[in-house]
Amino acid sequence: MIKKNKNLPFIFILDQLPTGVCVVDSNFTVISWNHILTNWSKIKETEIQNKNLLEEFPHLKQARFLNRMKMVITGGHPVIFSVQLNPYFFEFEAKGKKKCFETFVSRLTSDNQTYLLIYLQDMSFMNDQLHAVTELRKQALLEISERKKAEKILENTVKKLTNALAEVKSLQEIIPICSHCKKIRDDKGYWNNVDDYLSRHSSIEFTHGLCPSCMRELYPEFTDKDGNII
Amino acid sequence: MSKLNDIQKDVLSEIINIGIGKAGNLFNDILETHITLNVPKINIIPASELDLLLKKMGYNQLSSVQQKFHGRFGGTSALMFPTDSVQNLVSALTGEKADTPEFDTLRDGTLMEIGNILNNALLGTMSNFFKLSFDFDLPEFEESEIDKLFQPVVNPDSDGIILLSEANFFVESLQLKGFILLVFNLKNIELLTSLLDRIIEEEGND
Repeated sequence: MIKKNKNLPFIFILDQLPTGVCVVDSNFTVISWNHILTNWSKIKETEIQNKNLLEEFPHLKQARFLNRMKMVITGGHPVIFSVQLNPYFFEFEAKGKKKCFETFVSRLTSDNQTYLLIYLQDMSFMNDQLHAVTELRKQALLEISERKKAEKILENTVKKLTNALAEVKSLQEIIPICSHCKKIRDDKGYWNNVDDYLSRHSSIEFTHGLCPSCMRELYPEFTDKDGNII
Repeated sequence: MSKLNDIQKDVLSEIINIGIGKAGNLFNDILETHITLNVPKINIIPASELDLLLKKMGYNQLSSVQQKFHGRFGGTSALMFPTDSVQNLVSALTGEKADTPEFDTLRDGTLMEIGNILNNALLGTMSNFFKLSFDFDLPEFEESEIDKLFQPVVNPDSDGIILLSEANFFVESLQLKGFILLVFNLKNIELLTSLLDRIIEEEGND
């Protein structure tokens, strides 16, 4: 059945539009509710016609919506409720999720009557895609950061192993050592104590003490025959 | 050039300030973030000097939300932001970082709504003061170099006038600078001056 309204002769077109469209008068009484809105809301036009939009959807009484819609009625400036700042002009659900909209509100005048034309573009798919891309990007960034951390750890490990290998190699060489005092001769021909030499050529560190025979030899008055301190 | 005398300029500046005040109130109704607006300076310049003036101010590229108005009184109202201000403003309002690819999508929609609020408050106030009703187009977002941005709205050969106001947006701890531009079509200048004179006369009678 084609809709008719003597003040709004174009109203039958609204059902042909691919967006949700609703027309209310200046008191917010619903005049028209198109097929797309019926699909989204499961509310038939006959169920909502002549009812007050603000009573049917009380969140529209919030200043963020109502003040701007009133400005459209009095001033005629079209208003945009963006999906970024005001995504839920109508709170309709699909598959358990709230639909989000880009909403435009314009003024219509016909026969000295003022109407509001409210048209909504469903941005849920685009919004979901945007969130999916955002999530993917976050995940990718997280993985890159973890990979970088792992690479850094690997790099440090390789560095340590390379150093260790170099030490092992230098210690595997034939080292000239004095058969009496046990000093070691380095590349430049200097004779070094064993502890100095090893400290310089490896990561070995020394702590100094006295063995029992040296203890006995150096401090006989303080040691017994086994070299223990008396 | 000046088609407006000093008193007319003062009245026009006052009307803009009132409109900006209304826009500030609307922002606070709509957004969870508190925005304070102020307009420290209003310039009234010939159309032909606009791009030169903006370039002198150091801007080559701007983001803009333009809204045309028609009727007895026609022109274009535009809110313009330097690119870095846009990024900071949209980040502050949406919580999204400016260096992400999806930021462009957020930016266009957010700025469109911000521009729409401001343009509507401004033009609504003018409409009330001038006792004229305007027809409005939907706002359009554009980001471009200054020359290209104003080619469609400013005829450089005309001696039409432009109202260029600096607008400071204080969002949380950020202070962001934008511009509000009102371009009046040449054919409306005489109407504008007579409307301003009527307001001056009415104020004088009160």
